[in-house]
Amino acid sequence: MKPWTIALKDTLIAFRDRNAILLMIAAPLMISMIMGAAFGNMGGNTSPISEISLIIVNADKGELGKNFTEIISSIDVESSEGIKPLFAVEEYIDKDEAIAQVEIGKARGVLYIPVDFSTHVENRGESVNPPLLEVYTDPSASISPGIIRGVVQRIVNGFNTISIGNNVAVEQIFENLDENSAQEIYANLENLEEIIIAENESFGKVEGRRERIIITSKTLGAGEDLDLLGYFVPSMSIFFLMFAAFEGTRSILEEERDGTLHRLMITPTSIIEILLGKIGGTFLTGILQFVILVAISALLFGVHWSDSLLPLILLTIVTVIAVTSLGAFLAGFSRNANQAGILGSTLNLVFAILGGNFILTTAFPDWLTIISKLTVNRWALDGFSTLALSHGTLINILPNIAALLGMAIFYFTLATVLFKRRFIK
Amino acid sequence: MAGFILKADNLHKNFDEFKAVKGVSFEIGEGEIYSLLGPNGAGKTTTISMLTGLLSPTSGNAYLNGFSVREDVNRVKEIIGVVPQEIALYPTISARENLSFWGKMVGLKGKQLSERIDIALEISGLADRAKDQVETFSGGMKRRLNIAVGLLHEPKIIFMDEPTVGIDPQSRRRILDTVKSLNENGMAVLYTTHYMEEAEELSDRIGIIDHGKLIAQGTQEELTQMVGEFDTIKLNIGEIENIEERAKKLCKLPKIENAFGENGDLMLQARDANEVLSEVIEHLNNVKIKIHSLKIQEPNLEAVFLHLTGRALRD
Repeated sequence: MKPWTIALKDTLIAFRDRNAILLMIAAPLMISMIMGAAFGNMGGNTSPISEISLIIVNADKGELGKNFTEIISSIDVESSEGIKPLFAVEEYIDKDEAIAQVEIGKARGVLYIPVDFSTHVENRGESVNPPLLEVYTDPSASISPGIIRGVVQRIVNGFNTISIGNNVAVEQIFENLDENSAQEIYANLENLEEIIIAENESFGKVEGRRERIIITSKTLGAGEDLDLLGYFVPSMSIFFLMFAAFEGTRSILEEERDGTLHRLMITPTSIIEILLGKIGGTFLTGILQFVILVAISALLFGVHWSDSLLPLILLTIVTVIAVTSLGAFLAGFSRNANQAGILGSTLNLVFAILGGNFILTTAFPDWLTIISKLTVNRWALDGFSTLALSHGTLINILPNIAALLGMAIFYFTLATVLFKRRFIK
Repeated sequence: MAGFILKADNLHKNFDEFKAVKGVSFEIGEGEIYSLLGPNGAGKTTTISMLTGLLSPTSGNAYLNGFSVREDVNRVKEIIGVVPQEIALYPTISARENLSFWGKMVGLKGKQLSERIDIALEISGLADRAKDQVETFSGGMKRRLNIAVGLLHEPKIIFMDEPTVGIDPQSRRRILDTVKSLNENGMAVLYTTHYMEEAEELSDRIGIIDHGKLIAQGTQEELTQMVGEFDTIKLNIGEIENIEERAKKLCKLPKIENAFGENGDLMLQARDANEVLSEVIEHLNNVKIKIHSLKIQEPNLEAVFLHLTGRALRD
């Protein structure tokens, strides 16, 4: 009962502190958003999308390539700021230069219209090798590649299904597009998700074998469509959870400095009850912090944390326990609150770098990977990534849960020994 | 131990080589106010820490209501209230939330807790500020709340460790009145202070502590008798070199019984200050020492401390 009273008091104090709220909730979300934006993946599936930067390299000598470009440039969508073009189209002459723009993140995709596009289409598909439209997209983006591929596919469908004679009328294509048009689809954003899913499912397949035009799609770089918000939000949540947990357990030393710990020890309460209460308060605060972060990031940014709730809950609990126990050990090890603050910040940064909170651990050499696995951050982040990005299940994250639990027991035992030695005189 | 709520028996406390408390023994009767008077660093807080179970004595023992601080520390903690020297409160929660938390920590709950909080707020004069965060309070208000926390569970004895340090005269007055009022209701008080006037005003008995030793104890009358009929002449002569030497020379004057000098003050003890005053002034004039101020004190606790330690009782 008394540990619970202490834990509730600490949680009340933590959530009354505006600076703490900023550190616990606002900062991880803001930094995740900034990192997500910097690496090109912002917004959820239902956010209005417009002006996706697309480079068209029209090598076609005939009119149809030009028409294709005009159609793409003319698609508008309704956004909160009014009617806006779906694509911000730039035209390049050199394909490699255009691809380079995507690789450096300055454009989301490239559409390459080949030299003989018009000739082949106008020859009613009698050509042996149908024209090959090439689409290249940004590996760090999850939504815009689907849109680009979807729109190109629909326009190609228009070209393929209309009975095109030698005098192809652009108007005809427009008329046909009116039924399937991207304009219509994107104006009604409820369909967007379906389109993107369909496009992602068909991604990589060479389509239109029996059609006049073939589209080939390629994601540049790693060839993997990494959801960066899905990575950075858990990552930053762990990083700032550690800040908050270290601050929480440091409050044991602050209470010692301010005299409230001695006053607590004068009440009929054992030192173990006091420690359990203090650590319990940090744990409770950490759980609330994480739950709020999960809820806000899922609702506002559409971050997908897990396919099911149970593994997410278990992983969250063991992560918070491990981080809290580490904080308690650190507080027990430190001479005073100031030292604990400095040690805590330093350790948090080192663990965050080693654990992959800032740098993907796939880039680590072997020896660093081994060291990385000594951190709470690594096991926690791997676990959350498994759930969020690889659609993992409870079985997939059992090693992470076991490792985190082991670390929690280890650190908590050390903390208890250190605190007993410190406070029982 | 009948009649005593507290009995300290030859308490010692060492911190490595440093001996903070050296054989302190005293008793406090039920409903008695006992003051431990001594300068900073004399061992008052260490003594209280041992009596409240915060520190374990190196040797010796103490009994509160018959329970040993060594063997029955949890029983001891149930019957005592403590007002620590520092303001041990949580600044970012309200006065009521602080009282509620501390009340629960001493085992109060439900309606009893709520009633005791109301009483504590009334005693401390903070009922109208109950919902305000403590960090918005003045120093005096915090001190009063600090005391209220110690009173929540109606302890048999309350330990008050320098509760008036650093506050305005009005708040000090209120605290002293509160202590008297508690005592009138039968609560025993162990009050530590380095303010002689507070000890004189409040105490039934006083213990004088210095360098970890209880050097004298008794009622105020008993203690002042220790310095006999001596008056104390206090002369401020400003900072001069070898003030101790000057005091020794003054001590050789007829009818001067004792003389001490420190921090610009000369303190002389004589049976009748008026008889020696002219000679003292003449002596100082002869050596061209200017007197900035002069005060004659009849026997009091300060004189007792001076008599026993050779030093003034200072902040």
